[in-house]
Order: sequence, then C-alpha cells, then structure tokens
Amino acid sequence: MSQMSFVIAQVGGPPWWLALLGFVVVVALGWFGYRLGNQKALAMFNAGEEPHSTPDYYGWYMVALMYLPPALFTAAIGVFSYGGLLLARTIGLFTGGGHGGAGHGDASAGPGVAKAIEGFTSFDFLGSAPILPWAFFIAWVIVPVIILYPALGSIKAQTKARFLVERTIYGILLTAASISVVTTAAIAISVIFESMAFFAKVSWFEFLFGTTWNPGASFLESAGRADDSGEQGARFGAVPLFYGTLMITFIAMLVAVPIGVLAAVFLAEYATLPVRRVAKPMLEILAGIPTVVYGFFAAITVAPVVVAIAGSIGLDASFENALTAGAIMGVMIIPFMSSLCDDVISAVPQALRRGAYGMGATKAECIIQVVLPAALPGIISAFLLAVSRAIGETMIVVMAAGLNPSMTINPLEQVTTVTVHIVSNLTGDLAFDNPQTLSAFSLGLVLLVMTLGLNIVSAFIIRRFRAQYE
Amino acid sequence: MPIESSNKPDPRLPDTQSELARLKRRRVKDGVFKGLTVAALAFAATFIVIFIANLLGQGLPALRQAEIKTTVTYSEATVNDAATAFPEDVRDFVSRAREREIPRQGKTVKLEVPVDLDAAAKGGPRDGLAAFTLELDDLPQNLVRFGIFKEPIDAPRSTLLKFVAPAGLDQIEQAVADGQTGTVDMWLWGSQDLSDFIQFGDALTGEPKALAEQLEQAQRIEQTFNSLEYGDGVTREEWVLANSYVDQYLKGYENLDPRTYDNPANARLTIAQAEQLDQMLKDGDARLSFNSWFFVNGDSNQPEAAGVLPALWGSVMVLTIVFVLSVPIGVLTSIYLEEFAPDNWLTRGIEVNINNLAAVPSILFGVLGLAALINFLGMPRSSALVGGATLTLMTLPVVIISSRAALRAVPDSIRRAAYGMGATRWQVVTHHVLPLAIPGIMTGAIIGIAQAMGETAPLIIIGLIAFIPDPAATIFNPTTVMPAQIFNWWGNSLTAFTERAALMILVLLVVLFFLNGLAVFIRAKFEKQW
Repeated sequence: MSQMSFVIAQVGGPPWWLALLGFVVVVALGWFGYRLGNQKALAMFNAGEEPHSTPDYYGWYMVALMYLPPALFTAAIGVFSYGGLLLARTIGLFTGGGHGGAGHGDASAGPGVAKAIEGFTSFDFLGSAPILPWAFFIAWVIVPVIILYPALGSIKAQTKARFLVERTIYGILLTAASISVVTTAAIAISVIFESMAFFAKVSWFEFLFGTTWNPGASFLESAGRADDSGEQGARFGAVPLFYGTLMITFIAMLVAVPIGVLAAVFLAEYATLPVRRVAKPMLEILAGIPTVVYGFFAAITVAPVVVAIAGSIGLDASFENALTAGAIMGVMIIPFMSSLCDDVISAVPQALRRGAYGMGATKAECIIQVVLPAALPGIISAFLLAVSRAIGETMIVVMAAGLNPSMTINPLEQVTTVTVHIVSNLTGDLAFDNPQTLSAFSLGLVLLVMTLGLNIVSAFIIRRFRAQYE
Repeated sequence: MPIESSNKPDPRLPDTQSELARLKRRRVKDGVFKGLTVAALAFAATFIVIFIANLLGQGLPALRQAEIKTTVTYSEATVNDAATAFPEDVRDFVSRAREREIPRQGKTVKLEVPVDLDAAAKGGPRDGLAAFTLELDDLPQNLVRFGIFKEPIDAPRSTLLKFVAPAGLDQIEQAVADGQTGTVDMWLWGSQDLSDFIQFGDALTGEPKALAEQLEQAQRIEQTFNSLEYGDGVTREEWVLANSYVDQYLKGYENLDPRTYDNPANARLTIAQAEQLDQMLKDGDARLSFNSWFFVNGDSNQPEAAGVLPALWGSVMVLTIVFVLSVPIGVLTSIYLEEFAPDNWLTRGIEVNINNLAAVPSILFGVLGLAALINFLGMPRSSALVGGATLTLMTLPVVIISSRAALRAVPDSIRRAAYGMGATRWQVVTHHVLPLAIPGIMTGAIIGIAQAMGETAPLIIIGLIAFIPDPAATIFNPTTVMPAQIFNWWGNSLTAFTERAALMILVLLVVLFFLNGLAVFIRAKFEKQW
C-alpha cells in the first residue's frame, strides 16, 4: 500500500545501477538539448537575426521544455497518491470509525468512502507495481526525446526564452521555499491526527487534568485481558509529566538565567576585544556539545556526586533526580541565554550609558539601573526562548531524570517529563494504535503548542524592543 | 554684611566624610558586580575544564584493551566445545567473542558434487565442476516422500565455483593426477562463504543461499573439522582478547578488585584469580595493548569486542544525505526569500514559519519522521534514508537562516551594477551575489551538519538505535549513528560499555571540533567585510 513508493528503491524495482544509469541518461539528454538550443541561437546571432534572449537562455529553454513535463508528471503522481491517501485518512478520521493512525494494514476499519479513495490512490490503478518504473522511464527518457525536435523547431528569433526559463526558476525557488511550510504542516498534521485517534479512546479532560499516569495497563486492555493487570486499568492523566517538565525547567532556569545574563553583561560591557575573542568561542563550545553527551555526563558523573553530597548532609537522593537533570540542562542553556542577552544589551543605545555616566553613576550602577532595565524586554524574550528550549530538551532528561511520574517537590527524587514519555512510548514494541503509543502524539501536541506559543510571545516582545531603539 | 565663617560645612551639601564612605561603598559594589560577571564566565570555563577532563579520564582507558598470552588448541574436540580450546586456568579470562572465533576458524564444510574428471584433465580443475541436476531419485527418499523435495535441484556452475574452496580444486587436480577418469561424486572442501552460511547463516544471499539450503537438506553438505589446516589438532601460543572483567581489573577499577569487597564472594573475580592476573601481568603473560578492535569492530554484546565502525559509517551516510538535501533546498529557499520574493503575506508567512520551525524541539522531528516518513511514505525504519530525511528537515531552518544572512551581507551596489549591465535577476544572483555569499553559506551549512551530527532524540524515535554488528550496506538497511550508539552503550549496566561510550564521545567531540574549526576557518579566510 503506502510501501509502494519504495518498491522503486527496494526489491521489485530496477536495481540501483539502473537508476544511476537513468540519471546519467537524463543528464546527458539535458546536456544534448542545451547544446542544440544554444547552438541554434548562436547561429541566429551569426546570421544577424538578433534573437530575444542570449544563447545561454535558449539552451536552458530546451532543457525546461524537455523536462518540465516529466517533473510535473512525477509531482502529480506524488500529489495524487499521497494527497489521496491523506484525504482518505482525513475522511476516515472525521466520519468516525477511522483509526486515524497511520499504521499499516488496518485501514479496513475506515468507512467505505475513505477506503475507496485509499484503494484508488494506492497505485492499484496502475495494475501492479512494476509498471511504475516503466512509467517513469517513459516520462523521463522517451518523452524528452519526443519533445526535443518540436522544441528545437519552436526556437525563432522572437521566442522569449528568457521568460520561460526565469519563470521556471521562480517556480523551482518557490517549491524549495514551500518545503519548510510543508514540514511545519506535516508536524502539526501528524501530531493532531494521531492525537485525535488518542482522544477517541481517552478523554482529553482526563489527559490534561488527570493526576495519574499509568499507561502500562493499556496493552492488556487492548488484548482483552484488562482484568489480568490487577489494577484499575490504564490511566492517562498527564499532569505529573507537565509538573516534572516545569520543575526541571525551573531548576534549569535557576542556573541558566543568572549565569547567562551575567556572562552576557561581562561580554557586552566589561570585556576588552581580545578577551571577548576568547570568551565568546568558549561559551560556544558549551553550545556545540551534543545533548546526549550532557546526558551521559549528568548520569555517570554528576548524579553520583549529587547523591554523595546529599548523603553527607543526611539526605536521601535518587540516582536519577530532578536536580542533576535540571542543573546540567541549565549549563547547556547558558550559551543560548548569554548570546541572546549579549545581542540585546549591545543594542541598548550608547546615549543611555553616557547619560548615566554623566550623572556620576559607577559602571555597575549604570548597568543595573539603566542598561538592564532598558534591555529587559529583550532579556525576557531570551528567557522565554530558553524556557522553550528546556521544555523540548530530551536526551538529558531521558538519561538523568527517570521515568517515574511523581509529583514531589523534593528535587532529589525522580521526576519525569513530557519528552521522556514521548521517547519511551514510541520506542516500545506496542502496536501503533495502542493508546500508550498514541499518547506520545498527544504529548507531542502539547509540546508543540507550548514551544510555539513561547516563541510567538518571545518574537512579539523582541519586535517591540527593537522598534523602541531602532 | 558680615561674611560667615566658612569652616562650617554648607548644610545644602552632604557631609564629606559620609560622602566619601558612600563613594567607597559604591566602588565596592561596583567591584563586586564586575566580580560576579567574571565569576559567571569562570563558572562556564570551569565546567568545560572539568567536563573535558572527566570524559578524558573515563574514555581514554578504553583505548587500551587487555590481552592474555595462552595456548589455543584447534582440534575436533575444541571446535565443538570452544571453551576447552584454552587451558583451564585461564579459561575464565578469555573473551566470549574470542571463543566464538574457535569454531569459525576450526570448522569448515565439505560438499558432495559430481566432478567431470575428463573435462578437468583437459581444461583444468575449474572445468571439472559442471552444472548438474539432482533428480528426485538422487535425493534422500524420505524427504521426497514427505514432500520436502518436489522438484529436482539445479546447481549452476557459477554458484558451484563460489561454493568450492581452492583446496577443493586441489582435490580435483589430485584425482586427475592419480589417473581417475569419468564423472565421479567427490567430497570437496567448501569455501569460506559457504562455511559461514552453514555455520552462522550469513555471507550468502539470493540464489546461492537458496541452493546452499537445498544442498544441506539433501545431505550434500556437511560440517567438518578443518583437518586440512589443523590435521589432528594444533596447539599454538597466541595473544587472545581477555574479557571485560579482566580488562577492568587490570586497568585498576576498584569495583572489579575482590580485595576491596567486604564479602569477596560478591565480586566478579575471586581473590585467587586476581592474584593470578597480577602474576600474569608481572610475567608478561597479560598486557594492555592498543585497542584497535574499537575502530574496526561493530556492536557486540561483549563490551571488549564492541566497536564504532557501523555507527561511524551510519553517521557518514546520514550526514551525507543531510548535506546533499539540505544545502540545495536551503540555498534555493534563501535565494527566493532574499532576492525574488515579493513583499506579501505569503513571503511573510514563509519567513515566520521558518523562524518557528527553527525553534521546534528536535524530538518533534522524530515524531514527524515516524508518522509521516515511515508510516505514511513507507520509508524503511531504522535506515540511513529516513534518518537523513528527518535530520534534513531539522537542519533546513539553520541553513536557510545562515544563507539568508550571507546573501543579505552582499552589498546592494553589486546587484545594482549587474542590473545596470542588463543582467536578469537570475543572472545577478548566480553570477554575482551567490559566489560572494558562498563562504557564509558553507559556514552555516557546516554548523548545521555539526548540529545534526550530535542529534539523538529524533533518531531514537525512528529506530536508529538497533543492534548493528556490521556497517549497513545501503541507505535502506538498518543502521545506527554515533550519538545513538553512545546512548545504547550508556544504557548497558557493564562498566566496560560505559568506558566505551566515553571513548565514543571523545571521538564524536573530536569530529565536531574539526567541523566547527573548519567553519571558523572558512569564515575567517574567505568572508569579506564590506
């Protein structure tokens, strides 16, 4: 079904060297077409005919005429098949009964309409899979050869080759630019679709406000053996996960905000140029360390130290604890915070500082009472971005915070976060339509809404800040 | 008017003494504040130093690996019970990975094929191997009766040549030299590929695999002790890979030393074993040598035999895909936004969208990869392809934002000059603006690649943490990447794996350091200040 597209790449399709050969043939044909168009235009120039565009454009004109049809054909196949599939899923979802999940082979649950569209668009209409490589071969090799001669004939002195070529280029550029839009849409669609499938099984009210997170029993329930679990059954109250996320974020901010802001003040106000040249790359080293390495450091090195220190003052700490994860995450965010704050502090107009000095302020007074208040909106904006980073951070908490959804205020105990449970629920062996798997997408939706919200607010504040001083 | 005595301070002015004291306090405060800002930076610097020192301390020991010198016996008995290949007193020190090598080296296969000795006499031993067909009558009759064989087996010559070892061809030559003629059934030595397939199920694919399976079932292939090489049995002195407990003990890890335990029975090594190892080290029968396995092996469940190669190769494949996809798309997008796009709602929408995409947590790209690329588009799970595609989407905003900055840095006077000469918009971009922006674009691309290289969370979700003993053959096969391998090893409780994870981190950091250094170099060397 949707595996279709990779029939071309895997078994059943032509071997890879044939695909490579096809690529070489396409390039060679394009080059040949380019030469023909180019030379015809050159001949016209030499005959004193004054063509509309430069010869180069007539070459690309040929390439465009030859390869626009196969490119559009390929795009149409893609849109037709996957667009139809998407439509079928959407209809299935909104007419109820659809599984909504993008799992394999269980589309039979969907109602007739959706199924019909899905069947029609899943390349079955081409009869069988092996026909598709042939269709591509005809489109990319035979069709351009057929077009070659009439296209060459169409080149006259008044042919506006440049317009076609530039318009094609514009189309290509716009297509490239739309990929990022499609990506955002795809992220939103994938989490929203699967979340709707989840909320068909679990009420959204329980998810957002319930305080018990115990998805483990859902596996037995879906196997029809709910009684075997010996518990009340699966519970999807995500409040403990939100709580843990906020707690770790709070600890991280306790580390990152003061150190980040102070480091930024040093870089922007105190550091001489040579010092700055050393200090800034040093902070960037912190930014370049992969999060899995931070996680490793937190779990293997810092956690035992935290446990030992807590033990020495008579406290009982868990090896996976909120303090370690939060503190290391804070260190990770320091360079992010400091470079954003550095920018906003540097953007505060010099006149404000001169005014403060003119009034006899010391440097610290100038910074604390004039520069920082002026930069405050920018610092708040940086803070919000840092919070968004912390909420979305995964590896450090997976490795150092643990899986236990508790609502403790003791930072030495295990807590868990939204991202940890997205990872743990999507890496198990459960079926795709199991509520436990689907819950990861709802958690993803929450994460997306939170981070995007923070970013939008942050962007709004920073725009106001910039408008004030620029 | 009498002039007032001026030795009384002006009541409108503050008292000088208290003013001086206040000034002093203000200066102290000033110093304290500056000290705080320096302390913040010093904290970051201290963290980096401790961090690097700690990782070096954990990872560098993994560059050495314990070996012990012992006799290894290859005989019919030891290939069937690999542990007995080593003397009893060191048996517990030898790596399981080394034990597994014993049957691989000591066992081989023989296969029974009809050989045309007349043809061999004329054209050499290879010609003696003719294609043949095993009719149902030639096959074990009980298997035919149960319907396991329904058709004759066709063995093409090309496959047979793959199955027979050089020693097998020597057997044919010998038979010809002995004066035998006609077509006779001979048991010939099988090739390494055939042997690996029969013993371990790997090395063969497709038709040869199917034929080997059939021939084995027809009892035309049998495993046998490699008497050709080892005669009645050979005992050699070799340096063999020691297991991780010996390794960790010799490196001085306390948790492996039974003498530090309150109850030595809880330790992995007994006190006698520990003393024996000390003695071996003194006698030169045990050593810590350079751990070359780490750089050529794949993942293993035995830490002493685990290596980075498949993960390194996986990272190379994934990042190549990221580079090939994200740089062209990113550059085209930024050219559109900077040079072509009209200032309308669509452009602004795309811009806002890219900025937001840059801030989406990386794990959501993993969710996207799972839901859209694997389940919807049907890309193969755990493959470099899906990993590369996912990370491309994640890296795109980085590339776009830096490319736009690079394009914007090219002064407008250059564009105007080109337009003035009659260039079209596309000519202005490709002939003038883009070449000047390339250093900036490359810097951004390398930084984006470096970021993608360390990314773990999305790749875990799309399954790039499978157990991968061998480097993936194509971008469609399951693979893993360096950060995911670190995560995998970290999750293992054996300390020897932790050590290896730390060494892998050092490898990763060195690569990242060079990538970022390259970006800085390009920026410093080629970027123009206008």
